[in-house]
Amino acid sequence: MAEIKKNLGHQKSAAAETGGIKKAGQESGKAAETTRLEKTGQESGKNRADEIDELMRFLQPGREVGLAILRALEELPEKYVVLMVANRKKYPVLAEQLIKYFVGKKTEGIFITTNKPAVDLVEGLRKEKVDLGKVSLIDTVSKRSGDEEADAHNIIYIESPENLTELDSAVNDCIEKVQGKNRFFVLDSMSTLLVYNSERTVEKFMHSLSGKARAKQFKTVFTLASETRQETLNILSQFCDKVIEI
Amino acid sequence: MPDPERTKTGVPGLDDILYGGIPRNNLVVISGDPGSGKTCLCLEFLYYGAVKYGEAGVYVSLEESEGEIIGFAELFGWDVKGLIEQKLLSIVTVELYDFDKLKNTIEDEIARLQAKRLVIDPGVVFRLYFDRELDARKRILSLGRMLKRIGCTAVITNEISLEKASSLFGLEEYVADGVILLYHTKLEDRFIRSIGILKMRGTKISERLHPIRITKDGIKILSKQELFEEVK
Repeated sequence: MAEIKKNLGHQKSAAAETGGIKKAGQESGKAAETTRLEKTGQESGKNRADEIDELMRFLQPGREVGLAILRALEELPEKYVVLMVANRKKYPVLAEQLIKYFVGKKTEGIFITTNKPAVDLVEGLRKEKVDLGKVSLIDTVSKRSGDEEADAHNIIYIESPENLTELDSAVNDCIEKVQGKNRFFVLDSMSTLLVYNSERTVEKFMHSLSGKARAKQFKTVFTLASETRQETLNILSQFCDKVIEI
Repeated sequence: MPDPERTKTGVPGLDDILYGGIPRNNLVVISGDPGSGKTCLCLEFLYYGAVKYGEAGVYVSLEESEGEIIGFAELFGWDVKGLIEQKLLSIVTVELYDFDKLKNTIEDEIARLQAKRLVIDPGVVFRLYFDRELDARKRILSLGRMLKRIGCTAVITNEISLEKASSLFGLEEYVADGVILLYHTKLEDRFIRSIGILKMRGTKISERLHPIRITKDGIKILSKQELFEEVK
């Protein structure tokens, strides 16, 4: 992070002759009015900070999504079931940011990944020093795609996202294992399940899972791509307390 | 309804969906698609009957040899040879298409072992014993009545995907106390196994289809697991 900021500082020096920063420099050249100078200096600093933030958001889209998740979920009561809808720009970082949020909240739980191999998620998050020791991962990607399967105690591999019975069975096993009071359950994503299964089957599956998650008092998030048909979204949202757009 | 005396199958999950087991001395037809696990389920019924409950059983094979059946059981780690030596299991293979001889052999073998369990697999071969359908019907129904008389919990297998054998000459409708259906269904690009109890006289049964797993230890019925795939 420090390195990114340092690099950004260089970029900003180089860019100081253009745009808003150039304007701020021109204004500071008018040395006659001290008060105005001070004011301009403050504005210039503020603008610079805003610009850095904006650039960081640009360079780290995950951070923006992470903040949005934080804002949305912190407002909710202690236990909830939500449908989190994200567009295609934000979708790629949603999984990691959700895990980081829940791990950061010291919760233990279950994460179903239907898009990214569990090994990739684990490796990526390990680099960011996110400890997944208390997260049970269910991976429906790797077996089908022939990707590497880690011999890890906390990863369960399912043949395909269409094996909903097997997936449900794995969830049941994991629910028994997650013992803490503060627990989470994430299914990323309903959109992938809709690719492999009929809408009716996915609805039935989500209804069953949300019921279980409620009964066991999990903080529960189902993710969905915003490009999903409105009618499907309406049906899936019936099983949730709230629809959150990220 | 008072709870009947039961024969626990010992097959993981099956007794759950039968609310404790097959009512004792019931005659049950297990109908299933090819590859659905009929033979495995039958062998497991006899194996666990002997190992868990000390009840002797007779396996009447109308198709496979004794060696083939022993070899099949060994795939799941079931020491069938040991059970045969302990007189807890007998494998009877009948080659001659003499129905009366078959009936006598079954009766004798059950008496010799004082068996409480019987399996006849596959029942569809009965059709080869008779030239006329009416004869088949009469004689098979008489076999069913005999099995009920001799005090054994009996299981006969049948294929459900062979058009003409969808009913085992009326056995399911008229004589059998129970019918268990095993499905091996083709979905879009895969197969799924499931089980359902069509009927079982004398006991409450699960009304749902349940998923099945064939593991290295044998058949396992996921009795508490919901089946999400649509089996038609």
